[in-house]
Amino acid sequence: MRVEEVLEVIGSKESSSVSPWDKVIIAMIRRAKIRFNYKIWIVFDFANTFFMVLTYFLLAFIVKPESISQAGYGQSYFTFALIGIAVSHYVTASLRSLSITLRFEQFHGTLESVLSTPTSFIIIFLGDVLYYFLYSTAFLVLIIGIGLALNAALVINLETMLTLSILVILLVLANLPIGIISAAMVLRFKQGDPIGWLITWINNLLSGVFFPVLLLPTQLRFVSLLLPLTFSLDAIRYSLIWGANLLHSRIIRDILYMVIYIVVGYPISIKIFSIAYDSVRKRGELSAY
Amino acid sequence: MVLNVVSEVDEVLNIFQVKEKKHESFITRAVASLYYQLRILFEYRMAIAIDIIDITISVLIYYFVSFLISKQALSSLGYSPDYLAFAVLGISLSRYLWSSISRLAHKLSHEISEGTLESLVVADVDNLKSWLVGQIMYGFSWSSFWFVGAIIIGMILGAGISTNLLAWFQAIFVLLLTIVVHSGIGVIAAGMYIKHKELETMLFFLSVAMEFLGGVLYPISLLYNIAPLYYISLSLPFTHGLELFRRTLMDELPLLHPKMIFHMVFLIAFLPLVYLGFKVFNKYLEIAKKEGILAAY
Repeated sequence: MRVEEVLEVIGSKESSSVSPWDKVIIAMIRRAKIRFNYKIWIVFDFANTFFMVLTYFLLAFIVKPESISQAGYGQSYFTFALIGIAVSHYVTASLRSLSITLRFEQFHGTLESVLSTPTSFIIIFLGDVLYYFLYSTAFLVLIIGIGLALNAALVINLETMLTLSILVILLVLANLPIGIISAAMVLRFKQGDPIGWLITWINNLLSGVFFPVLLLPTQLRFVSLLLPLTFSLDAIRYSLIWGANLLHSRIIRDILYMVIYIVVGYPISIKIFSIAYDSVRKRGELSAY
Repeated sequence: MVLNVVSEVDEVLNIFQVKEKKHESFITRAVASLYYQLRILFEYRMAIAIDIIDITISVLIYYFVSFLISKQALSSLGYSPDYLAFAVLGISLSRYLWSSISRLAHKLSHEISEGTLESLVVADVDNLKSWLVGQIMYGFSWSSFWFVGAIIIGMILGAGISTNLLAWFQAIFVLLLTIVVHSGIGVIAAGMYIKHKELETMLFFLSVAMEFLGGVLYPISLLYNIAPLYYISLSLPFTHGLELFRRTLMDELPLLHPKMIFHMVFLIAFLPLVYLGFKVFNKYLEIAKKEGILAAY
């Protein structure tokens, strides 16, 4: 084979018959196969969540109901905490899926190979996000199921489920820009995932996952308004506790906030990721970890 | 020339054939095992920083949750009405649970998957006992870092934890007793792990279940609402260790107080687990050596 021929093969654009959507599904199955090899983490994740739900079920017996009703979330602390636990799983998924993928490939020395394939990294990433989204949805169903078995005061009907689906998609989309920035840091600095962890903790503390935001001091309450999870949680709680749909004024307000995060967040995060990606490629550090 | 080469080869063979006589003491070897693990930890400074933030945020979450808790409800269950102190003492002690029960098996899993367990066994002189003790000491140091951090942050936020020196001596005694008992379970688990690799999943589950059933975040009497779980909880040493620990640092009750004796006797009854643990570990190590499965994973 002549050199020109080899160059032609390498330089030719892949004329694959596989559609981008099929590639996303393949990437998702690939991630699922890898994750399900680590059964210990899945068992740990489920057991942890199961016992966490039971813990808050028991803790609710000694909570003053008025502190929950003052915040507008009914009388049941268990229902309040149950929704917080279920929804925060999606945030962890959207914040950390890309950085976990990058770190995994980086650590096993396969990042360069993955990025050298004709398949765009965005497709592989979307496959991963889809996997984590479905995984978190399984958690949501499990948690709601346990909650209902323990008499959580949830309004479950077609309208609230439709509202919940849209709010969850907006929640993931609103949090993904922070996930993209976190991944850019992993790519550039090759250190665990400090931003992902930090935002996950700040979310747990300030977004009202375990207690109403009203309990926070004024300054911290202002910080909580900068977190998309605060609005997602408020809307989801309002829908599942009071049966409100997408046309309710409070839910419309929360959706508007999430749309602002999406519109502002994506251009900024993609720009930061591109800078980190180009810098790593120029330095030839794609395979370093 | 030929004679020279022969004598050199003999010298080398002699060196290989000489059995190493000089062994460091058991304590020195255990401390060496602790030291190398600490060296590894300090290489990961980011992990230490993440741990510090984790401690701070965990305590802060329960600081805010404490505003939701009814003081009357907590008092009616027989505790001081300070939920922050209750939760801080619970989460700080629970860290020892993971390090006592699951860490050894997890560490063995790591050594096996990295292919270094066989090398450890080859260099071993006491059936890995000093290595195990060093690793237990490391788990203790790491959990103590969490323990001290959580208690300090809790006290800064106003948790009503005793500052009485005598109460603290008693609390440290209870803490050590709890750790020793659970380390016995951990050594048994680590031994069984050498042969039955699927056990690691079970151990994770066991740690999480014990943490839940021990009442880390809620008074154990609330488990009456799910009666079978209440009785399972009473059969676990962790439940009694935590109860003794809380009563000591929240109410300053002495060990001979009627509310304490039952828990104390129960915890002491588990002490033979430590002896049994090393026996089981030795047995499985011998089996693994004979079957040549030390490096298998």
